[in-house]
Amino acid sequence: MADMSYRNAPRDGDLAAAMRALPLAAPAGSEWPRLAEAFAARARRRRQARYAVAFATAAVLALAVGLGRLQLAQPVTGTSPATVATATTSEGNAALIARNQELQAMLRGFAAQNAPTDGEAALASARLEDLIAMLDVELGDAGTGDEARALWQQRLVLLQELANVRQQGQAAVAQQDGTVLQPANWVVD
Amino acid sequence: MTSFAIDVPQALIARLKQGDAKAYEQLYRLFERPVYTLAWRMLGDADEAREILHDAMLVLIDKLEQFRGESPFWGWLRQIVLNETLMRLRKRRIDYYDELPEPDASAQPPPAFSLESADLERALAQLSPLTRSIVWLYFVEGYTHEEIATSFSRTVSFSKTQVSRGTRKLREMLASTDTQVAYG
Repeated sequence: MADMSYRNAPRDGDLAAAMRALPLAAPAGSEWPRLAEAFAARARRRRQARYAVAFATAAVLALAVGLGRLQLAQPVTGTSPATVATATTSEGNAALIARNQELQAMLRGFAAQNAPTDGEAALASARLEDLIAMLDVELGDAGTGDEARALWQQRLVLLQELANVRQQGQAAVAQQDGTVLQPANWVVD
Repeated sequence: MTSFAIDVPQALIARLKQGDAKAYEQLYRLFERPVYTLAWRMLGDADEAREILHDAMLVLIDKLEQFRGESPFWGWLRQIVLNETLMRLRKRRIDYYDELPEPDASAQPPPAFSLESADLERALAQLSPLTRSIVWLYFVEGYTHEEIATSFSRTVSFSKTQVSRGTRKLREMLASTDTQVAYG
């Protein structure tokens, strides 16, 4: 960063002073209206994405509760999704990202097993995957502050729920001889 | 002192980070002219300078979370403007490798010259965008040769040579009464 003293021009001080004395230039018309519209459009896009994620999250969790999965679940990491969300509110972004990565690794393990899953679990998985993809888009635009932290927390809850759904779907199939579906082909990076 | 050196209150920065639209406008009003002036001086084109004003403000809002307050806010904004403007200059395919010879120390000094604003404006307009940019950053914005060299990805010697050459050309043009080119 440059310092503010005009240390640069002892010899050319007259010329430098004359340049600094030139009046500031201004655009022919204010650029603010165009900028305001750009800011407003960005804010609208973010709001819409946030509402969409919140709405869809509620819908998927309601579906899972309706299926009795939350009550039946033996959570993958030994804690419920709600516990995960609460526990992460004080964590920094780095810790949240690390926990997201742990769960992603676990989900990759499910994919590698290529185990069959039942239809309800496949549907819930697909919806959760869509939500996670939407969150990833938002994260790409969220920087590194509070907004990003909230998004990482939401993502962690969704990953936890996805892991539960997949685990239970596979368990359900193992206990029955009925029709099965292949697992959704979403791959966690 | 550079025209960018405007103290931005912490309260305003906090409102910016919260997405307060009125704070955005307040910031724009504070820095409209310094941002536009730097871009216009470097690029010499009014339309492009407007684009820089627009783009730099958007970039600033996008990167706001990265501002940690370790340097003045205005300095951070100025660096964004400089980076955006340099990208424009690079798109014009300016030859950054056009190393110039060191000025001849034995050359006759230029004669006395006019420092009328109008003459100076015309003389500045006749410098190449690259030379004018470096002269402006050095004399008006207070950047060091090292900082300029880093920004332009060139050597310190390159910066010194550009300043020396630009200064000499300005003095020669100001000594003449025939300077007559305006900015676009």
